[in-house]
Amino acid sequence: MSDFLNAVISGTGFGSLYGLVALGLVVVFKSTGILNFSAGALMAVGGLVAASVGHGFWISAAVAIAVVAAIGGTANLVVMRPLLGRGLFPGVMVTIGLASILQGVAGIKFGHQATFLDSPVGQASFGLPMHTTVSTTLLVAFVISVTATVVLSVAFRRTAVGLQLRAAASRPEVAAAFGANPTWIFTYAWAAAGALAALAGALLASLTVADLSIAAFALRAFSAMIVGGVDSLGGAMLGGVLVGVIELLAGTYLGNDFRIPSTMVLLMVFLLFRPQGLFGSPEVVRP
Amino acid sequence: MTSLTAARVPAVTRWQLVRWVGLAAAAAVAIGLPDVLTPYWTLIATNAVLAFAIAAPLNLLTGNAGQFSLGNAAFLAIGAYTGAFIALKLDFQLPLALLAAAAVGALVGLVVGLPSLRLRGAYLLMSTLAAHYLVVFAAQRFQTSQFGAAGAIFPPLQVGGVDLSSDRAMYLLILAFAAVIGLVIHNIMHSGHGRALEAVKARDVAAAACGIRVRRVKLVVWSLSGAMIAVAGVLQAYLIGAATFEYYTLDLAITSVAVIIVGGLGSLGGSLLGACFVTLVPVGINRLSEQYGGQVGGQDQGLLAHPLELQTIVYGVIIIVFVIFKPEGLIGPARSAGRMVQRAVGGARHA
Repeated sequence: MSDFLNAVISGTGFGSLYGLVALGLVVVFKSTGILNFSAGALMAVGGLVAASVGHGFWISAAVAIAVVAAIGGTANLVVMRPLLGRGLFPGVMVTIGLASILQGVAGIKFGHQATFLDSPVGQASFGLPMHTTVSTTLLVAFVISVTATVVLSVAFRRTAVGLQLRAAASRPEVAAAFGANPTWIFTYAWAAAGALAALAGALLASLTVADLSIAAFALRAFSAMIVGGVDSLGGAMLGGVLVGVIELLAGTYLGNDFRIPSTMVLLMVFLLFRPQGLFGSPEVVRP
Repeated sequence: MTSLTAARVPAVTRWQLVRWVGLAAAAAVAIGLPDVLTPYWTLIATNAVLAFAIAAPLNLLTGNAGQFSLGNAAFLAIGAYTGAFIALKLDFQLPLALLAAAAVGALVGLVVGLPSLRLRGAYLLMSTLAAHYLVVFAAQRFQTSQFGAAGAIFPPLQVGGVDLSSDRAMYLLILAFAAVIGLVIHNIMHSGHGRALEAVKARDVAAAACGIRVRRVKLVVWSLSGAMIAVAGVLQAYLIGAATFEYYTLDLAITSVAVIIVGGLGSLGGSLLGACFVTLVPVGINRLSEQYGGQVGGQDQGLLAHPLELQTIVYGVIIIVFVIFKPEGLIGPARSAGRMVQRAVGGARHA
């Protein structure tokens, strides 16, 4: 029983980080129609930048968020803009190319030695009833992730940029006719995706180590995005948590080899039986 | 184009003659390559030909039929492990290993293609991503249970007592296989099946309205490309000398997608040009790095001191540049050059 609870608790914590990245995927996919395969590289760069700053977690994370948000925004202006309306394939390939460039540059800049990042609260954990323990870092990660989700959701609903973003996502021409500038709006979306990935990367770096292998976590974010529904922010976070819990349960009861396959089975089940995810709206196919 | 009675066969135009002579010359050069190249360059040529044999079926699936897949590394793994089981555990010869790999590849291709009947676009791509990881996981379990942690070690290739493990023999074997793949795909593309694929890519609902059995066409092309890539996987494993599950990464799958992007989507010649280009770029960077890059007194000499990272960066830049600026790929300029030659020698394509 305590194994089960520990897996659920840790899974929720790690899952909230997948959810953060999935939020970024959703924002970009909803607004620009681009499936962002560079999310993992953005995470890794975020973690590496944070670890290289070396002024405690909060300042380091803030620097990383600023840097990666700038990378995301610049990427939109330089390489994503020509792809608008060209369908899925070009977007996926260009983001893969971007990921490749980022990983190469990060490899040169930061080397391949794993570095460490201070935890936001010190590496402690506290016990709960029924022999369960909670890592305080993971708890902080969870709180930050949920806060970021709430802030972003409110910003989407209540701010002018959020409104313009939703308008540009659903009808770019109409939104432009009413004075929204899609170029800048999509740049904000990419910057937000970069910031979210960097935050998740910095938190992961403080939980594990900072190196390029952080990029591999983005795979779970794709799973989280589909599970939550590709057009729902809260869904992405909840999808992330579900993916994290399933992953750690599989790791606890079946062995670590089963962690990634379990998330892929979850992804496949949703794709086949509920492609709109938990909270997404069903895709309308126009013949 | 050709009619049944000999009397009505149109005269061979000069352009057709040029094409045939060109093709024959290319074949002669391809076969003669290992006799003039060093073993190092023969291996590179082998890799390029193999990259073509892997990318061409993927191009049929993605470029012609519009089914975007990241599952090709999984099919290479399926081929490699099926081949390993047949050849190493059951001690059968290569031909049977290839046949078995084709059969398993076709079957798994069918299964991986099933979601394409319900899903499109990003959802379909995600399902191939999931399939990739599930197949590689299965390969990992299979490897551990059958071959141990080091993977399946392939002995030097022998068929019927004839040693085929030399650089030259491996090259010629893979070249022959690539030629068969190329011929099969060429014939598919220039038949009604090929046009059905293009119709399914353009708009499957309209294709169905035209009497094309869309579900069947989709499943056949998934299955066929799966079989062909799996067979290539057996040869690749023999070339490498081992099958280890760590080799079959998503990056490996992406490499083949890069080949068809750089070469040209939906074009057989594009697959070939892309395969050569993507194989040669890292070789070129390594050369540059060896000549100018070295570290002097422990000091980095700029980018060229990091050949691996530089390869990664250049690879990313190439993908982006081709997608944005040359979406038709290398085959675009190649076709224009072909048309210029055609005009120069005169004679319309169809006399």
